[in-house]
This record gives sequence, C-alpha cells and structure tokens, in this order.
Amino acid sequence: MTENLLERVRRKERKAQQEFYRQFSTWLFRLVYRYVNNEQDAGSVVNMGFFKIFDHIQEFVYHGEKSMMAWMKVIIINEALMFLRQRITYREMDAINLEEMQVEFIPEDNLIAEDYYRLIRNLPDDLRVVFNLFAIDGFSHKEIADQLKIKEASSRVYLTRARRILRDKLTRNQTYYGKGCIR
Amino acid sequence: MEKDVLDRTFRKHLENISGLPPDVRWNSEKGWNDYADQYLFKKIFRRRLLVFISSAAAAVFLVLVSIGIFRNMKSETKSVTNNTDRAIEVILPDGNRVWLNLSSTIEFPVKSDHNQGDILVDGEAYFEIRNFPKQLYRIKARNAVIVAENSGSFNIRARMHEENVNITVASGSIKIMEESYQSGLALLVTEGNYCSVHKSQNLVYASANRNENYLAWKTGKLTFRDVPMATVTDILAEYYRKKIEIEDKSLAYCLFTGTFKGQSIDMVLNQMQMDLNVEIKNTGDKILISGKGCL
Repeated sequence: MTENLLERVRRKERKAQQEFYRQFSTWLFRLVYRYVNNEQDAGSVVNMGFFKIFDHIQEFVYHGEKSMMAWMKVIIINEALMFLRQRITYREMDAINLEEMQVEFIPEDNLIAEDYYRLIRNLPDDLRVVFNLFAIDGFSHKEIADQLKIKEASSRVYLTRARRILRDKLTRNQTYYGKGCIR
Repeated sequence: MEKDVLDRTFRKHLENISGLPPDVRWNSEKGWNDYADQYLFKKIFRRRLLVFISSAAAAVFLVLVSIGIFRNMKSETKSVTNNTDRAIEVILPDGNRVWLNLSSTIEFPVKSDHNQGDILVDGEAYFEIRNFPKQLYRIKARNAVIVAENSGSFNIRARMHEENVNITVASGSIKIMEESYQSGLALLVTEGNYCSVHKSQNLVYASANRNENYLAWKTGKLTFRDVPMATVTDILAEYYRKKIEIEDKSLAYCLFTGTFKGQSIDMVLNQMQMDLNVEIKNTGDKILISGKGCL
C-alpha cells in the first residue's frame, strides 16, 4: 500500500476507499471469520470495521503498512467482540486444577493451514473467542477480562478448555466421533 | 511449555494462510458493494437530497410533480428484490407485511386504487394479511394464482429450478388455482395444509403439511421429530447452504430428533454425532456423514 493511496483515502476519495477495501478486506474477513464463525455476519462485521477505519483514518499516524494493519486489526476485533456480545454469554468459570489439563502435545505434521483455521472455528463460541484473543491475536488475560467483562481467572479457564479440545482433535487427526466410537 | 507449543503451532500455520476459506462465498467485490449500499449511498443520497430541496425552483417542481403523479397514477408498481444474505420484511402500501427469502422478488401496485392489480412473487415469500383491501387479494407466483379473501398468513415458494410452486397455509384459508384454469375450480387450502401447483402439468393438489421447517428461513428455527436422516440433511443443506452427503446408505433411514434456533451448522452436527452412531467429517467443501447406522 502506498502512502499516496492513504492520502487519497484520507481525502475520502471513493475510488481510493474501494482500492483500500480491496487490498485489505480479504485479510480482515479471514480474521473476523475466526471470531464470528458465520459468513454473513462476518461480512457485516468487516463492513462495520471499515466504516470505523475510514472514519478515524485522519487521526492515524502512518509508520508503515505493518503498523497500519495492527491498528486496523484492533478496530476490527473490537467490532467483532461488540457484535458477539449480543450472541455469547461469558460465564465466570470456577478455578480448576490447571495442572491436570496439561498433557504432552506433539504437533501434527499432516494437517494444512486451512485445517488449523477450521479447528479454531469449530470451537464452542466462548472458548473460540478467548483462544483467538490470547493464542492468536496476542491479548493478555487482563485485556481479555476487561473486554469480555469476566475475571482473569475465568479467561484462563476458557483458554485451557479450548486448548484441551484442540489438542484432542489434533491427536485424533481432526475426525469427530459420536457415541459408539468407530475406529 | 507444552501449552505454548500448541499456541505457537496454530499461530505459525495461520501466518501461512492467505485468500478466503474454500467454503466461503463472500468476496471483496460483494463486500464493497454491500458497504457502498449501506454506508455510502445513504450519505450521498442525503447530500444530494439536501441540495435539491434547498433550491426554490426544485421545491416548486417537486410540488407540481407530486400533484401530477397523484392525479395521473394508474397501475404503478414497485419491485423489491432481496439481494441481502438474510430474510427481509416489506410493508405493502395497504399495511400488510411480507417477508422475502434470499434471492426473491415481490412486485406490487403502489397506488391504493379500486382495481388493485396482482402481486407477483418470484422465489419465496411469507405473507401476513391483516388489512384487507376492497378487492380480492390476488398473488401470482409462476403459474399459481393465490386468492385471499380473509385474513391469514401463508408461505409461497416458487423457485425456478423446482417442479412445483408450493403454498403452505399457516393461518386462515386461501384459494389456489393454476393460471390456465382460472375460470374453473379453485382449491380451498386451510390452516395446516399445503398446496402444490405443478410447473408444466398444470396439476394442483393439496395435502396436510408435515414439513415443520417450511418457515425456517424466516424464523431461524429448525425442528426435527423422528425425521429420517436423508430428509434432515436435505433441510440442513438448504438452510446452511452446505453440501451434505450421507456416505453409508443405511444411515439415511435413521430417525433424528432435535430443535435448533440460530445455531451454527457445527452445533447441529455436534448434536447429531452425540445422538447417533455417526462419524462426521467437515472437509470444507462438504460435510460427510458415515457410520454403522441406527440398527
């Protein structure tokens, strides 16, 4: 992305906004789809995010494309969390013996990136949000607790449960089982 | 530590990912068009409208044109198409309500006149008729003609790729006929029943409605009570717009019971695999269900 494009976006040139949208929307959709898990809703959240981005881009001080993407990422994650606030109730979780949850984990080699992406998306809603925030997008438990209005301890429990499910699914090579396990 | 290895493994793989997931139909062009419609059109329209009505000459013109339209309006119609990704509600000029499913169109007269023309439906629409006009309420959907004479609510499904136009009555009663036999007999279809009008054979028949999910597109609620898996997967495939295949034919006859409202396909599949002796694989392109069955 050139600084020239950014300047034109700041001047609210529609063509420039469209070019900017084209350049970043796929990446942002991917990000949101990890949280929102529904294609239609993800599209709506992406657009809510772009509305905020275009609205606040005057105030943003450009230090390179990476810093700009980091700024956009914070905005879009915030939009996703606000959207999900209506859909997900985060309960306070009882502190558990976290040591019991830790089992040796050996990374799988025969899965592709898309498989990992799908595994996250298939997590239950509340666990998925916390895992995304902590493990993928680098938020601390304190920041997560503030965002989701829960205690830090609950955030840790959500994360541990998410990791356990992911670990279990990875060791079974991503196949789901129901009652009467078929091997 | 072990837990960091798991997190790092996921992060590392997600860093290598690009483009859109294979099962997604959204794309950047569609996203931009939606954005422009929702956020740009309104702003531009408001701006232009302010410019227009602030002009004295324009204001006079507006008044004159309005009088002209009021006097000369005959059978002016308005068309609404649902190009969004969810059901939309349309309020008709007479105050009655219609919900349109995705990729569906309704065309209706905009002038309240003694000779109210037909309402045309293409796709799928749910009508709630409470305010009753003087004339008969006539709706045309492909070769089906639906006439409402009393208050009621009903769903019309007229998809181009389907053999029949199906009309399901939720409340009240309606008359249905095939367009080439309008002067002949009409079927009276009452609450809890549905009517099918065949596309080319001009057949009309009615039966009790056993499809609890005919309105799932509007309500977001799916109900299965001892429904064969073959039917369950058809309904889920249409509702969630996913390909679902039953790999082991013996599973097709297993009965499934469950109720879902506003839940993702993954939650439905999780319920299914807990209740039935099945293995479910989501490959992204499609969902495959296999297993020993329910025997």
